[in-house]
Amino acid sequence: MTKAPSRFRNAVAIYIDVSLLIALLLLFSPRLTGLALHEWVGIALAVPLLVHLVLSWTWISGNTARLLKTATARARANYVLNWTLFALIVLEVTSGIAISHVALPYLGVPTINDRTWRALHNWTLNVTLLVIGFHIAMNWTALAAGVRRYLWRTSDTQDSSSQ
Amino acid sequence: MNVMRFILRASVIALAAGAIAGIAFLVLGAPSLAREYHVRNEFARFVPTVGHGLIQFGGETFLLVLVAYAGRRWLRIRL
Repeated sequence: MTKAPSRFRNAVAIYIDVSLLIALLLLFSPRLTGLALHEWVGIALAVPLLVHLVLSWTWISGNTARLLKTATARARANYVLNWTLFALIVLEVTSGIAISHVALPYLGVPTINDRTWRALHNWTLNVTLLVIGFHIAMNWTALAAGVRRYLWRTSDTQDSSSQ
Repeated sequence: MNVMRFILRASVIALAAGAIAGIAFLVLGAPSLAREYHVRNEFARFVPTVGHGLIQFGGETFLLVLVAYAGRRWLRIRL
C-alpha cells in the first residue's frame, strides 16, 4: 500500500520525461510542425518542464545541500549539467517568445524580429541539443528502466513476485 | 505531495526561470527596430512539408541519439 504513491509518481515521471523528449524533438524540427505549432509547443513546454522539475525536487534540494560538502565530482558535474540545461531551455523559450511571429501577435502583443534575439535562439538550439544528449546519457539507466517498467511493462511480473 | 507544496516548488522554479530571462533582457536589451532582421516571409520558410519535415525530425533524432551514445560509450557520462 505504501508503495502505491511512489509507483504512481514514478510512472508520471516517465510519461512526463518521454513527452518532454518528443516535444523537444518536435521543437527541433520546425519544418515538420510549421511556425505556428512550433511556437505554441514551445510555450506549452513550460508545463511538462515544470512538472518534471517539481517531481525531481527531492534530488534538486538534496544535491544543492550536499553540493559543496559531500558530493562526488560526478554528482557535481551532473548538477552543473542540469542547471546548464535548465538555463538553456529558459533562454531558448524566452528568445523564441521575443521573436514570436504567431503566438504573441495572436495574444495582442506586438513583436520585433530582432537579430540579436534571433541569434540567441539559434545558438542555444545547438547547445541545448548537445546538453540534452548528455543529460540522457547521464540518466540513461533510470530512464531505460522506467520506460521498460511503465511503458513497455516488461517487468510487471518480476515486480509482483519480488514484493 | 499536496497542492500547496506543488505550487510553492513550482513558484521557486518559475522564479529561477524569470531570473535567467531577466538577465538575458538586461544583457541583450528589449527587441528593437534598429536590430530588426528582414526576412522575406518567415511563414513560407517554415511551411510544414512531410518530406523536409521528416528528414529534419529524423536528423535531429539521430543527432540526439549520437550525442547520448557518444556521451555514454566514449565520454563515460553516467551516474
